[in-house]
Amino acid sequence: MKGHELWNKIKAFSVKAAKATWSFLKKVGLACGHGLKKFFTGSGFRSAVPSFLSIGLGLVFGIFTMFIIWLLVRWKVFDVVNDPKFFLGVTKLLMGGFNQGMYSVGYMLYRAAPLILTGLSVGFAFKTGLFNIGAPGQLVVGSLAALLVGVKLQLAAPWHWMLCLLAGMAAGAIWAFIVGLFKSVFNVHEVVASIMMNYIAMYFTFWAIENLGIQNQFCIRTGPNRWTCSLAPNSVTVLSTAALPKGLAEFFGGYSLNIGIVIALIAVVVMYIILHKTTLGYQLKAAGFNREASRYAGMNTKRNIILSMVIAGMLAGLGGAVAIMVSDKRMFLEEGLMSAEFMSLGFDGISIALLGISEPIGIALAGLFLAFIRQGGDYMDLANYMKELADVITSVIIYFSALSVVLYQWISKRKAKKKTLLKGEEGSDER
Amino acid sequence: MIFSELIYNLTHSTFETMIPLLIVAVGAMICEKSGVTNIALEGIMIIGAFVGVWFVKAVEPQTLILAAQQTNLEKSILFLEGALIGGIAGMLFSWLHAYASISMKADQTISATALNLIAPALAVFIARSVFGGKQIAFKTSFKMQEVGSLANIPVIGDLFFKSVNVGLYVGIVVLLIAWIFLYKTKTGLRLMACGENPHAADSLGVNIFRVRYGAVLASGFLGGMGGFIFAVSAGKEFDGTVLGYGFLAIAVLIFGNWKPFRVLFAAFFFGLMKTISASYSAIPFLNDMEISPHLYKMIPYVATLIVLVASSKASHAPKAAGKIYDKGTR
Repeated sequence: MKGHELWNKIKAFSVKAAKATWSFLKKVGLACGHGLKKFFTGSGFRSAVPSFLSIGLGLVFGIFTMFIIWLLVRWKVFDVVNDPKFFLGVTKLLMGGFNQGMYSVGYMLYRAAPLILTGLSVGFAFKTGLFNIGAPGQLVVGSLAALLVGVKLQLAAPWHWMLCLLAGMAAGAIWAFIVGLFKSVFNVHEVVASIMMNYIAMYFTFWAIENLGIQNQFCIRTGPNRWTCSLAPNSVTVLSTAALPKGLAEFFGGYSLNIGIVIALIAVVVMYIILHKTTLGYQLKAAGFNREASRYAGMNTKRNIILSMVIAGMLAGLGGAVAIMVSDKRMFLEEGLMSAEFMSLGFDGISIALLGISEPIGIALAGLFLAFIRQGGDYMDLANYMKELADVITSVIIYFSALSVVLYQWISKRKAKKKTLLKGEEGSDER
Repeated sequence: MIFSELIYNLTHSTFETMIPLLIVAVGAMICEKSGVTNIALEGIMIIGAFVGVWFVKAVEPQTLILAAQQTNLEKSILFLEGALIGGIAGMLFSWLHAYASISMKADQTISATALNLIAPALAVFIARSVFGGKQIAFKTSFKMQEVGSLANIPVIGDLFFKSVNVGLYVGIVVLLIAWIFLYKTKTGLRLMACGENPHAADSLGVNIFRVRYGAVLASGFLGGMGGFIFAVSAGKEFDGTVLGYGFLAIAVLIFGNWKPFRVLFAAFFFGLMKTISASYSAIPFLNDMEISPHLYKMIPYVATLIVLVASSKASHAPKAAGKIYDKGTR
């Protein structure tokens, strides 16, 4: 009898627990899903339609270009060493990050992390009415700070890389703070100040690598126990305790993927909350819509400019930290290589923010897409197409996205007109 | 080295930086004064340089000796042809920006950014497809040792007529024409009205559409030309980049407060700073201080920031710059 009672109790309890868990999960799911649901059903998704439209158009353009090249080579208009293979090229391009299964998916996610972060940086600034073309500079100083902390300090693993991330954020924030200060106090246009700060960041980083003892050495053995070392034109890498852990790397082909993408996604969620759920976000967005009106409404516009620049700088700096905190990543002491490897991530942030219509979720998708298409471009070499075609396609997509917002407005206006016309006709029939 | 010779050398290398910046900044000025921002100048410069340099490579004498034997006149004609072709290429390319931002009323930043992305990708893509590498090398050196008998004038001859290329005179002519056009002709004044208050201009019968198209195309022409001049002044090859000069030109424009002669001063100032930072080792007292070269390279940018702080309080930016013109908004 007692056993039976106990059994009943256990049953009741487990049912209760299951119910509670279910409702909890439901709540969490709803909360998580709310953003996505709103994105897919609400105005968020509708405003994303132009981006999808332009991605489609851009890809069509890219494939068309590939076809033209194929035709030209077939007709012997110009000679190439290796004939491009049209169908293989298109498949490679469209397969993008899925060309080599989980391995390339992992590499795509690894690539996407800094892109998403710089996209968030530029996108957030856009939302608050500023054009943060300074993301490249903020990113580079972020990398530098992370590298310095990652080399000079000796700490245990989780604390070390976390501190590096913080250092990167702080450096980016300081770099952007200067621009914000110049804009709000001295009325210096943020675009010019940012461009200047980009160059200053690059040369400052070169100086720091040479003079703060983080330059790489190149040693040759010249005799028994004797090494001759000379300075190499690049920096050292971060210590292994400061490299980002590779939690899921085994699953993704065991090489590149680290938790950078997780950090980026956390940043996406945080930015979503800041923009849409806080008073601060509301104020900053209000300043983006109309600075004068927001000042009239009693908001401190000067403080808000500085604040939004600082937040944008933090994100770009974090992106820089994520980019450098890999066990084999170095910064090169040469302007071209520095621009190609680090600064360009910041400029990519502009495209991503534009493609992602400055919305955190859109930016995450746009960052993934850019990584995807770049990956496709890399694999396109196998079909004897230049990988630069991926960049051409991306830029065409951005151009179409500039047009498609207008196209979309035009289409929806026409639809609305048709609707009202139809309604009018129905009304007359009823009479 | 003799002091006066040092001054002349510094001046000449200042011109090398200053002239492309000046021409492109003048283009940007015309464009912004009509109410369209043009951040696409970086891309336009790349296209202009790419096409212009390709043209030069195609028509120049095909051996080094013959290329070196060209007279000043031949060099100058080749230079002007290249600049013209580059300018036309830039103009055609900027039509994309005009179409998006004026006809389609798209966001001007987005379309300009797209152009900035397209240009280097396209230039490198085509160069690699056609030439096998991303560099296009040419053989002509456009620098003229002495410009006729003008080089014999004591100081002026040394400054302006020795070891310079025609770009210097092109730049000065462009500036003067732009100034006369903007401030002394009816069309120019109308163009500025479009940038200040398009609705008022429209109500007085100015065709905003046409004026803005013209301004963007003109800036595209100057941008392409500036790109070509940058490419041939910097060396003997073009590798698909103009090193951010398009952005710097916009900085020069803002620094010059949207006024032609202040833009000239700004370009000169920046060019001078750049020259000092690049040739500090030739300047005795700077060389003695033993500062890292990287810090010297920061000079132009830091100096520009400081000057901007000092001069930005009274900004004369065109009021409607960057805003899409829509008849219905008033």
